[in-house]
Amino acid sequence: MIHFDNVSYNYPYQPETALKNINLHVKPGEAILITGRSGCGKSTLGRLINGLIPAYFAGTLSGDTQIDGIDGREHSFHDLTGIVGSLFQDPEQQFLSTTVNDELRTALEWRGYTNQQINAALDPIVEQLGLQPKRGSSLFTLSEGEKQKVALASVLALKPKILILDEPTANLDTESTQELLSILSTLKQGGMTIIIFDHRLYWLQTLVDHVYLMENGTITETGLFTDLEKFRHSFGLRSTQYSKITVPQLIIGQMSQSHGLSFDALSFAYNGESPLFNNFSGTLPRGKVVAICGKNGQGKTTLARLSMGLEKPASGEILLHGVSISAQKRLQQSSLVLQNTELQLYMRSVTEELQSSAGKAENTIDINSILSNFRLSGLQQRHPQSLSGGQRQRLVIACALQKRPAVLILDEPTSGLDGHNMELLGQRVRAEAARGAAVALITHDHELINYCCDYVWTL
Amino acid sequence: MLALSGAKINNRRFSKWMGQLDIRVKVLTLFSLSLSLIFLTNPIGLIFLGVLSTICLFSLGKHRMMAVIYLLLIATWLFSQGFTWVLIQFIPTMKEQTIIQTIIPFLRMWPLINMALTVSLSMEIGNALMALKKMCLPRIIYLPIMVALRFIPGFLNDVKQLRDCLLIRGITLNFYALLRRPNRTLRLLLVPMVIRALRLADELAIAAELKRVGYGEGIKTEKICFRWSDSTFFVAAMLALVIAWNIPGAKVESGMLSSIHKPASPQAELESGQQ
Amino acid sequence: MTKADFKSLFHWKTEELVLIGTFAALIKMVTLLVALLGGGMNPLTLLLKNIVATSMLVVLFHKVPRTGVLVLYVLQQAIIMMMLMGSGMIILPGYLIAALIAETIAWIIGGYRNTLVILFTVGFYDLASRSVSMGMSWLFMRENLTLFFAALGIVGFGYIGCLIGLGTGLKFVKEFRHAGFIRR
Repeated sequence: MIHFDNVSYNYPYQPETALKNINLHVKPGEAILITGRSGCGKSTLGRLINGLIPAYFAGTLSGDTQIDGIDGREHSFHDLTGIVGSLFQDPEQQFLSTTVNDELRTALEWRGYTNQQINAALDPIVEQLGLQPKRGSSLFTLSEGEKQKVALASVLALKPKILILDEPTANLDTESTQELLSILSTLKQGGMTIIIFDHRLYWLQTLVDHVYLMENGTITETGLFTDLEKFRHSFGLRSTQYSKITVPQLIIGQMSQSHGLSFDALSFAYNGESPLFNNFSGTLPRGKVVAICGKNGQGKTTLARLSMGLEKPASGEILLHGVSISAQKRLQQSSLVLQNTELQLYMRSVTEELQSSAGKAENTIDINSILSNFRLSGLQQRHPQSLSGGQRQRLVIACALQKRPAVLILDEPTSGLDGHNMELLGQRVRAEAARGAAVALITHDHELINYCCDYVWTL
Repeated sequence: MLALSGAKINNRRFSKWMGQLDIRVKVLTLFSLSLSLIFLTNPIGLIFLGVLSTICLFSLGKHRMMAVIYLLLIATWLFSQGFTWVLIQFIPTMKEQTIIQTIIPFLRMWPLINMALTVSLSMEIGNALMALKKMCLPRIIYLPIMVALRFIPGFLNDVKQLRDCLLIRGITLNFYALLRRPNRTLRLLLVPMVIRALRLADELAIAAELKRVGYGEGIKTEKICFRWSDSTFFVAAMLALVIAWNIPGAKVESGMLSSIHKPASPQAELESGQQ
Repeated sequence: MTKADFKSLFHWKTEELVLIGTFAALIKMVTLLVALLGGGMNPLTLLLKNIVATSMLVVLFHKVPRTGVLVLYVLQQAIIMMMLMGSGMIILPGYLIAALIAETIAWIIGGYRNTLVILFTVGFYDLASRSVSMGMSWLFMRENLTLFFAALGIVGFGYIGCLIGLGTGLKFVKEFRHAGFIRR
């Protein structure tokens, strides 16, 4: 189905080769995993398979590329988009409409399908993915898992022979991941070729036939899923086994209110909606790392916003180390790191960014040692927004720590991170707790929870 | 505007009815209204259109917003009166300008603002996107507008997130910050938003390429057909315009002619339309 | 202009069209946001709104430096205004003519590969479109000249913001180039 021989590619204006001598052979109906450290060239390889290179991204391409038996250069991009379906890491960025039904129909409509043809193509897929009840909904009201199903359904409606998934589980909880696995298994049984680019590996054990490991733009190792374990350390991979949470649950009332951030009989509801918290109590203990888990809509992010002082509770108190303090003071003594790193970086250079985060704090900061701690050495003069996704995320966390917060909350910090960076994050978070901060991680990453958390708090 | 305000969908029957009208009908109606208002000088005709359009806007139920806008209009009129007084001190010939002359521009803006608000407050992004498809516009027009409309809800969310992120850093985005450090405030607002937009544009462009939006044979599903409600609205609007044009009343001359070139006399005052 | 040049005016990459659409929406939204932050009509807000709009337009020209970008941008903005705020259709022909004149002058003096041409085009368009607005204002306010003069003063003051925006736009271009978002 896919035959790449000695394929190399350079992006325009980039001195370094993005892909070097790639040899990839995938049979019809096969499922493969391509993984490696962040920045190893996985995304570029994906763009080569779905035809965006060279149709959309110019640059220099060499070597033989064959998709579905035809030379890649002879395929028109239009044909190729019907053969290869692509699912992005963040499905929302793939949406061109605002409602589920409209989104599902878009690609078919632009291919000139009639209403009858569209219904015939969509109905079985919508049923298979269980999207019928959501067909009239707005895309912005869906959970991450539902959004991904909509994106997948709109791709499958074109009946592709090859399906590419870019970090499909980065934003999914365990249940949604299992559901995705079951859908992909069914598609594979139906003869579809599946190519997955992912850092999270545990869920793929029963699905993939071969794995390919990439480093510096080239495929350096191939093998079976069971071979991955021996490459874990050298390639900075995540665990290949499903991790059951082994850390204890946080029991309400177990922690002293005088050490940490406490919620006392808190009630909160968004305007006109049913209450998210009703007489809610609990404590994020000082010096500990707590994982906040729970399904979508249970109030994880709202709890973080209440903690920070970004939302005002209808009733109840929020205490820091046993003392009730105003929202403004809480805001001054807390840090929150969100997933969207672009909106958290404002300055012209990495150094300026760190200095501005320290603000008027008395402590002088040693930029070089901070950067070294976060594996960002040598990037002092780079524009923060020019860094890679992983580097930006590490910089945002480094900035959040400059405030020396009494409370630190991170929202889904390992989304899209490789194993090495996950461990680095875990170490920094632990160091922060050791300094005396109350740390909370909003996450459903079991591996991270077991690696660095002291408690799990399920909402 | 509904999308801009981030408000919840208006469930009033008239709002729904207006929201479902064909976008081309609304555009054409607003265009005809604007054109008519430029040339219509009869205050009675303008008041007639103003009252009708106020009923439309009032039926949407957005009374608070309506009150704010009307107060703003009154404030602008008072401002213009003050400005007139200042000018009169320097240009005595301007004394001739009558009350009705100062009010006419507001009478002209009144129906226009009402109808623009009626259209915008009843518009939903999803419906606007559907309407765009129906128009069968060429790719170079359809694609950017589709992206722009798709971009707006996400943008509102990003602004909220940006405000929170800055608050956590101890920076407040408000008028005081804008006044005290305009350079820095603009930078904090613009740099992340532009970069976010550039990245999102990249992703949306790839998604549009993969879905072949704007290429190929074009859409065959969206038929161009008007419903009875579209025709009713359009006919009623045109009828209102015809009535406004034919309603008996006085003709008010332009301020430039009457104020500067004409001599002041009781007859001229009568001609200039003081009722 | 050869036949091929003329044909190329109508052939746009998806990436370019998406950028124009995104910027049309972004500029409208950010200027609205500045107006909200500034509490409506006051001189500072007026100045800042124009600085923001012009700066971002300069950035857009550096991202999509080709003839036709201004006309498309103006068209998109008018349609967005029409669809979301119910206004702007009557003034569109005037704006389009202003944009076409600006584009033609830019094409004659060497095209958008030269930053000075970009600055001139944006500055010229801002002035021309304001003249069109004032023409329209006169039609609506012709009975009340004082109101017209007040509007003239406000628009003239706003144009100072546009001129400042040319400078800040260049600063942003420099920064985005450093960040790798503008490559020329």
